[in-house]
Amino acid sequence: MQKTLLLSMATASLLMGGTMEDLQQQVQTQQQSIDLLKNKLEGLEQGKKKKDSSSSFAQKAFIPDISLIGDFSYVNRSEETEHTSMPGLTHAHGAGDSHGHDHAGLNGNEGFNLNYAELALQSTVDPYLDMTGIFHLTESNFEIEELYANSRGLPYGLGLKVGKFFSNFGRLNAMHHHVWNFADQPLINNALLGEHGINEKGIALNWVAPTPFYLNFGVEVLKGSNEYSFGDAAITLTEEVGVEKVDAPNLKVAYVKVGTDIGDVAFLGGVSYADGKARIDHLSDEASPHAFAGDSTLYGADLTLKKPLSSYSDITWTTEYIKRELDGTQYVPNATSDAWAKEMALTKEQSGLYSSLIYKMDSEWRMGVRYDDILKNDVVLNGADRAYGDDMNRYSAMLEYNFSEFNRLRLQYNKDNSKFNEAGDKVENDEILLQLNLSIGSHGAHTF
Amino acid sequence: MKILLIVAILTSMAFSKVEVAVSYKYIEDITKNIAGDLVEIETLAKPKEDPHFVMARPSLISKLRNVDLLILNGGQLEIGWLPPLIKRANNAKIFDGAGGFLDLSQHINMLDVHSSVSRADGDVHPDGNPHFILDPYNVPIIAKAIADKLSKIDSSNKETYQKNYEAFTAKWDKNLIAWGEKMKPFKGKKVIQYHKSFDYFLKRYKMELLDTIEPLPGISPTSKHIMELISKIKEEKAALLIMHDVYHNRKAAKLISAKTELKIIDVPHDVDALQGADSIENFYNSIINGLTK
Repeated sequence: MQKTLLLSMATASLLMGGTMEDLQQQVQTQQQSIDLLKNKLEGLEQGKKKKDSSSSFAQKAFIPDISLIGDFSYVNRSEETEHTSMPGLTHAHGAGDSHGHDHAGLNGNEGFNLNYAELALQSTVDPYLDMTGIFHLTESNFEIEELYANSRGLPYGLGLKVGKFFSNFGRLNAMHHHVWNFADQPLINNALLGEHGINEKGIALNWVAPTPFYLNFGVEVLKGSNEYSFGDAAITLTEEVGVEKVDAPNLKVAYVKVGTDIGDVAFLGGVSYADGKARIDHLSDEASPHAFAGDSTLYGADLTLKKPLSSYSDITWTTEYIKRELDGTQYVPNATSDAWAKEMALTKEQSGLYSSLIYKMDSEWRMGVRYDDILKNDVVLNGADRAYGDDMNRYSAMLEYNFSEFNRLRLQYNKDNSKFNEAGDKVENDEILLQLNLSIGSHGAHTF
Repeated sequence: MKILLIVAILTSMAFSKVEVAVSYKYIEDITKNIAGDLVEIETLAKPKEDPHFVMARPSLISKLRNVDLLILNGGQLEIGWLPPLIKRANNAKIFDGAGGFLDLSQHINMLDVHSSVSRADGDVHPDGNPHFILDPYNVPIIAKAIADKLSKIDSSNKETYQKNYEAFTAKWDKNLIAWGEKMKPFKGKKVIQYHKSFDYFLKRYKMELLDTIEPLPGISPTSKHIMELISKIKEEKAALLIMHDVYHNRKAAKLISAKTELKIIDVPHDVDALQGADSIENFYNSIINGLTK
């Protein structure tokens, strides 16, 4: 190849009547012009850099990962839900109730709902910590749902979290609504923990054991002000009588999680425990004012199996069981005088579970079914069994279409057999929910 | 007493091995070429899976818990599954920016680096096309990055790593010449692929991309796009090929093939993605043999 080239060049120069010196000179001139161009290019590039000097103090590169999620729904129910409840577990949402939230919950209204906007910011603080802030915005409320720092460099497989966060109790509790498989919360989670679950201020420490399978132990020390099962506030009954506030911290959580592969099926199981004081202050309720103070303990067990069918298709089965033991004193005001007429011993032993099966067909379609059941609902007030019964369940089915990873439309149907009206009769409710969930900004990874 | 001593020596030997986790099989194979028996490697993704979508199994967390080094492809190829696993593994050595974290994409000149991105263009990677392993000329760069990182982490074996790297690249240069010869006839050929998985390969051997089967990155094929693609193929004068990865749905490719009589050629995206692609060398052999057969 080279020889031919040289030969042809030589022939050409001979034909042109030139000499080798001429050729060399030509090459030299070419080289010079190349060097010239190079210099020019370098100059241009430097000029480009110089332009940036006007932004010497710009800190754009430090902008945290930002994402915004919007959740909307259209809801149709066969029966109204305002005056129905799960006796012994939930209250009817009548006017004037002091449930802490002045906004309707998820899918709370018939027709259109703007459920929430979730604004998340995340970045590294320094070599030692990452920080995450997740802001739950409803139409007229701004809530710091989570704001926590995570350790980056603890030895021995330890991880520390400080701030406000979702407890790692159970399976669903630590998950944000937009990653749930259904538009609403399971009955037992909703009844015992409320829509926001165990979402508390405190410290969490977890340890990943150096085992060949996944083994994770965690302990959390939390404020304990979940208004459904835990509380630390003082309750004022009269000027003389009251319940003192709980010594901080009120709530302690512990859990163990185990994960491994059985063939190609991924397995994750866990047991959880939460213990603290309960304080319920519904004295300003119009319908039946009451207060409660006592001890509350939760036990949880969960199991998830996920079978991959392809990169885009899998089947997931999840079951979670939660039990609550509540033991304390119920206070009911006397309607006619300031003196406290009733101070009654109250114990509750309640449990329930949900079980769901989700089939992800491809990148776009997912479908699933869920069964909710209350297994136990023993409420004993002043030695008398209230006989509320545990005949409460719900069947749900959903079909979802993902236009992209950031755009999900979900149709859900619930056959809800868990609510009773004020007369104590069961109210069967058919619910249809159409949910739209959109996200912009940084890409959240898919956790297990 | 003797047995105790032997056990102690054996365990200390076991402990002296550098434990490495890698995201994909090709990284495992290159690392083995550099490190031989000096390291123990755990590979996270399965070679037949779509590298973007790996199930974040809890068992992967335990694989990351004890390693001294994590080597990833980077360029956001693992963005959908790896970050939460790293976070949950509580391993200080492998947090991004820590000494035991190696992002290979940082060493590569990436194609399609976007200065501005919009998801109106699909699920795009702002840092550029992350499928750079398809260019065999990137392998020595990757090998160098791995050799340098291992030399830093395990400095007592530095010479071995560097020696192995030299030997590996010397052999590799010969491969590059041989593959270049074999690929010469493919210059100028136009290719249809599902996702922009093989762009680096096309660019290296001067082939051209006619179009992708997916209309936009991460968006499933629409019938409108497929019909347009078929008429585009029929109008095209240059020689055409369909190069298909092993994990995407073949329905659209089969339809195109049936309408245009183009052959679908299986192309591995990773070592072990196809039978015979069982080493980094055979990975390219397998691609090129698939094309030339």
